[in-house]
Amino acid sequence: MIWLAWRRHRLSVLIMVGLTAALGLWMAYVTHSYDGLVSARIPTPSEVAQLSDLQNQSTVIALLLLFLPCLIGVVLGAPLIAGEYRDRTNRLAWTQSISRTRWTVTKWWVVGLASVVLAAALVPVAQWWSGRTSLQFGVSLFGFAFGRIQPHTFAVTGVAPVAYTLFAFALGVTLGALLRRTAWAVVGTVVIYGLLALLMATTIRPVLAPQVFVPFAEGGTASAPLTSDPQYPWDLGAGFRFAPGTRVPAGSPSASDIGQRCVNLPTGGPACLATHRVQIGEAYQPADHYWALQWRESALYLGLAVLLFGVAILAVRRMRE
Amino acid sequence: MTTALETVGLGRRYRRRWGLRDCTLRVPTGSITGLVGPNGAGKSTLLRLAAGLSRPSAGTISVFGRDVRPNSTEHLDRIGYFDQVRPLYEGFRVEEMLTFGHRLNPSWDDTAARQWLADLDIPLRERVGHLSLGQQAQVALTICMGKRPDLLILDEPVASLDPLARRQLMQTLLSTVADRGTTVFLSSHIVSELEPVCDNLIILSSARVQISGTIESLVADHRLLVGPVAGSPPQGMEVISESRVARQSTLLVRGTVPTAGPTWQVLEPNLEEIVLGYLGTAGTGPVAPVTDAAPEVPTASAPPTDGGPE
Repeated sequence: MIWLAWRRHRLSVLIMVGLTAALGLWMAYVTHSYDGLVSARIPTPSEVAQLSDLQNQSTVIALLLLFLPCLIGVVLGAPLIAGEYRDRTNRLAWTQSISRTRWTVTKWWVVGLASVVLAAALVPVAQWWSGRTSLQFGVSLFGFAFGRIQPHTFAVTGVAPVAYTLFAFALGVTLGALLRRTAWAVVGTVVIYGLLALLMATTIRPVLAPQVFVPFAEGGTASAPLTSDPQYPWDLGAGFRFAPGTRVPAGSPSASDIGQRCVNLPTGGPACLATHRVQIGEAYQPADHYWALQWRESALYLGLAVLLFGVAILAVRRMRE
Repeated sequence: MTTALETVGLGRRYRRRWGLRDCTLRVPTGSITGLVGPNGAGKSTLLRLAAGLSRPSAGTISVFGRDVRPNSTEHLDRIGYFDQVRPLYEGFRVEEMLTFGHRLNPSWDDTAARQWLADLDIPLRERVGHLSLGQQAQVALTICMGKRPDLLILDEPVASLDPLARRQLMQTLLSTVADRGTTVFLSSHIVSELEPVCDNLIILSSARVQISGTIESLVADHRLLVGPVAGSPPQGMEVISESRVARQSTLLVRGTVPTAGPTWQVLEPNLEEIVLGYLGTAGTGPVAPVTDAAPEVPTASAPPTDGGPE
């Protein structure tokens, strides 16, 4: 059965290997060219033009890297079962001396493993590329943000890309098994993957580890102990919290509710905040939370992938021709 | 006599309609049983249920005494299934299809499988998608038979093949099952294909079994009565169908025929006439009398559905 799974899907796996390798080579080219240009001396006008060109290329690479897990999921996952339904070859496989469960499980792990290996192989290259060039190039695409904990770098380094890929693959397989159409599975995978990635970066990841809160100094500007760190923290924006040591009675409104109300008062904002012992300041995820966030987020995605795996098996077992 | 396949009140409902309904039948072990009916009669539905590709909505189906459950390898070990669309992995070489059969079936007979393909001059290095339809059907049949099933389920095995390919396929099939004593359950919408190879016949129409039995008993149990349209036919018979062409009326009746009047001629029907008689009755009862569009055409043998000469 392992033989069948590989033989049946090797073409699409090899195509993805080719695409991934091409992306890796491109990153190597850009990084290498960049290293050649950046030196102590002042760049000539032609070198400035070259740098700007490399910057544009890096922007495209960054987008491709973000999209790669979803692409792998769509290309390898969506047709895994839906493609068999289209060709009716499930009728061939399901009438051999092998249970549908084993058929599904074997195909899933063989092609899923290939997806994971692909994603993992690209991570070191992506880390090298982003480490050398992000100070220069990260700025243009994502605004002011340096360091590996920033969302655009976080998503393409560490273990997260591997977990994303496995999840996208599992999603493609399961949607294909449920919808029985590759095209619908592709659309569903892209939409759900995209929405979840957005939700993760904006809402879930910021609370996966305790945030660091830096109260604004009197006069309203942020004090800057964290931003002077060469490993830049992830700035989560301004917010409110109760001052340390405040006893918050059960059932009272949250710090942000109180804070919002106080700030909206025509007069006496700071006084109102002080009365309720609510501080205003900037929330951060410091750079050293990188691995905690990576592992926790990856665990979430892996859990979803396992759940989807189970649904795919059930869908195949229950399928009636 | 033991039973290879048995269904009791079997039904399969699709969203709006029944694909198969109240189906009770038995396929004896070692027999070659044909399933005949028009397109859409429920033949493929029945065969997919037998193969475990589908689950019944009503009733039961058992193969060699055990309920068919999808996902049961015990059932899958004993059957070979040939789908009407003959799905094969188009990109595989013929040799790889044999590897597929070998790896997925513990009982695979590789020597025999290679021998069949060699006898048919099917090149092992060729890609399945490049083979002719007849060769693809042979490869599909080889996969079915190579796993040495006790029950072969064949859905329209020779449809869309040319006459030579049909004969070759049936030869491969029959010589093998004769050696092994395999039970064969095969469908077709053409009676003449089944008649020479089958012991038993099941006529299926409008999702229901119309009649089943051995070919000899079917022929022995039925008679054709030919007489004038005006004359009233003898009473006390089970009339299966009635057709009128010009001034002649033809009845297909079942059971013994009481002494008919001198105006009625009693004939032994052939299998095709019996099948057509049953297919005509499906759903609406006896065939409605054909309006004689061209009364000036004198011959009684004119096809009833043809209009008059323009």
